[in-house]
Amino acid sequence: MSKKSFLLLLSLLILFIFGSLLLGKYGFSASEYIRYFVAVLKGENLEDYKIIHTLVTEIRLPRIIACLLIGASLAISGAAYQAMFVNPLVSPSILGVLSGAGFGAALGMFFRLNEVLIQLSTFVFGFLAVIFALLISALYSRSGSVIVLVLGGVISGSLFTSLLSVLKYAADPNDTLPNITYFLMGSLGFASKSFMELSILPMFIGVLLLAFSGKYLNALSLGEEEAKSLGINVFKVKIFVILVATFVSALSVTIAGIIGWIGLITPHIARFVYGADNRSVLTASALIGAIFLLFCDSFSRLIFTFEIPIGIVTSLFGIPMFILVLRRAKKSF
Amino acid sequence: MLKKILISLLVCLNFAFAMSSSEIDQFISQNSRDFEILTKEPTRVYASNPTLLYLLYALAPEKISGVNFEWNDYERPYLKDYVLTQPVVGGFFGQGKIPNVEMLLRLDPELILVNASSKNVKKMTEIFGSIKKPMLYLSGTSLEDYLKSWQILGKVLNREQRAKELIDYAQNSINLSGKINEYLKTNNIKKLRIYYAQGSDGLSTECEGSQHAILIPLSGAEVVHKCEKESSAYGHVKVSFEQVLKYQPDMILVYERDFYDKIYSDPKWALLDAVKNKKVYYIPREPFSWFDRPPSFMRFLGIKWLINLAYPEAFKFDIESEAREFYKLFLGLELNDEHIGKILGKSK
Repeated sequence: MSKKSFLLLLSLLILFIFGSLLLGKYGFSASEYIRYFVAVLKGENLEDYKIIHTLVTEIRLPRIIACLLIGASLAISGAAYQAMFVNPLVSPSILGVLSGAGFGAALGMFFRLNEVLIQLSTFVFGFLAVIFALLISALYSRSGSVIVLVLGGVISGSLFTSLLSVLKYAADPNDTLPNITYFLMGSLGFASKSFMELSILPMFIGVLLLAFSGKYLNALSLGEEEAKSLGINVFKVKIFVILVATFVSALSVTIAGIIGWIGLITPHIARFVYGADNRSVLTASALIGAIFLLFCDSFSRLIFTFEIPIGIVTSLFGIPMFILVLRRAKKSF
Repeated sequence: MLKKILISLLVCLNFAFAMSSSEIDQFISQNSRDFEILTKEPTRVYASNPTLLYLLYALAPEKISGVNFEWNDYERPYLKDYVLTQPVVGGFFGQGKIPNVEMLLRLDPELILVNASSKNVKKMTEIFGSIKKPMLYLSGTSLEDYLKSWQILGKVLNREQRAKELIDYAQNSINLSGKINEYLKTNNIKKLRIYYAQGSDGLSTECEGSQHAILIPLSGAEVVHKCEKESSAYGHVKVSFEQVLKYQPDMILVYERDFYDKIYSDPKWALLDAVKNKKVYYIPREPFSWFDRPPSFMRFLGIKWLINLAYPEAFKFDIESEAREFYKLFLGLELNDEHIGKILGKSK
């Protein structure tokens, strides 16, 4: 990926960040904003700007950061998985992490745990689901062959989906069930400041680690034998990618519930624009994923008086884009 | 003296709606199935959805046969042991928890109560039709429905006196709704604007006109969230915090305890005048919600509670003694101070 196109993506991202910082249901005039930002820069007392200050720091900024991290995490895990499995239909949920995390969250809500414990349970079950998938595949193939791995993921994913259905069925229809349902549809509205502070750094590191694994993934996408002949420890690379991608996707679920489609489509868009080299596809996916989620979230916040769950918006916008880039993707994967 | 005249006037009003015996018979003949099998007073009645179950619970708890779902922990301490030990059969109330027919056959109810709106639901007629039990279609949507349903059920179950007591109270509450709206009009008082916060983040709500927020207009106030089109029966509309901030409601009603516990400490909710003015109220829900979800007869007390919060000067209710009276009449419970405090959310 050339420096120029990287900078272009980055500036687009910054543009979107400012855009969504300024836009919201609770409107302020441009001059108010300017006065507020000047006051912030000068370090003045912000008491006079209480509403705008709280809105920016408590609502919009955490949400924007959440969007950036989640969009980047899901997109880059999707890209890494697609390269690893050499399959364009793979998304971060391939090994069951989203189903596991969804089940974990529902379990926490079912037992009316507090927020921190719910998030912990979300994360832990996301990981458990992937470990379960790995165990199943290890039973039948020592080298972790791709197809057995995928089947392991299918089994683990279905297991946790059915467990989740049991919980939904048993949940109190007056409060617990709607909470679970909304969580599963995903919403950045869940992003709370306290938890964000906790997960920003680990998520960021996870995304960086994946971004730098492009060289190894390039080798993997040539096929296992070729990768081995290039002197790459296929098994180690796979485990590394699986662990890091699971880690960031599970964290993304703890912040905003299950957001589909991003992990599947963004890598395709990245490949459409930047070609098949994973070194650029990974970085570009992360940036495009962040931009795409920011865009969808602004849409879900602004368009109606009510908020549409972000999962619905991402698929509404994602599907036509996917269809558009599909033709090219088929050729160049 | 004036009070006496007013009361007797109200009593007259009470029976404005009342149906005569022949009207009841006519209603039953039009809204029932296989009713002729029923030759004596039924002793085991199965209500196929929660609203009807609560309705039956208030009228004749000893006749309940089978329940729709496991009772929640917060409901149990207030319910009669006999009802707590009833098996869970399921029912028709969404989420696919349809009844287990064999379980139902084992229970052998002598009468099945069915929600009037499911009268023509094919699956339901198939399930209940297959076991050939008398079915009665009743409705419990609007508050007035309760009066009618109690009266009919009172006659069928031979609990007419009990039904009358409940109806008197209920009618009184409904009348209050008219009176408070009249009061606001004559005194030219602006309607209070209420935000109904549901969900663990407080950002699920109901649109104006929603059945789930019906007490708000009935108590003379206004739902802040207006929707383009009428919301679905299920409700739980998601809004953004900025939208709520824009509404700046005068009062917030909170459904979930978890959210109520944190609303005062959350810096963003502190931006709302209602929070600053401490006008956030937890909706009592023991054993059933006073407001909605589930919709139940508790709303007849809920009206008084809400009017008292919104317009405390209008009728000057002492909500604690009102609650005592209500729980005694409807649930057969003598509440002590500790109970009252817990129910009203003053202590956990």
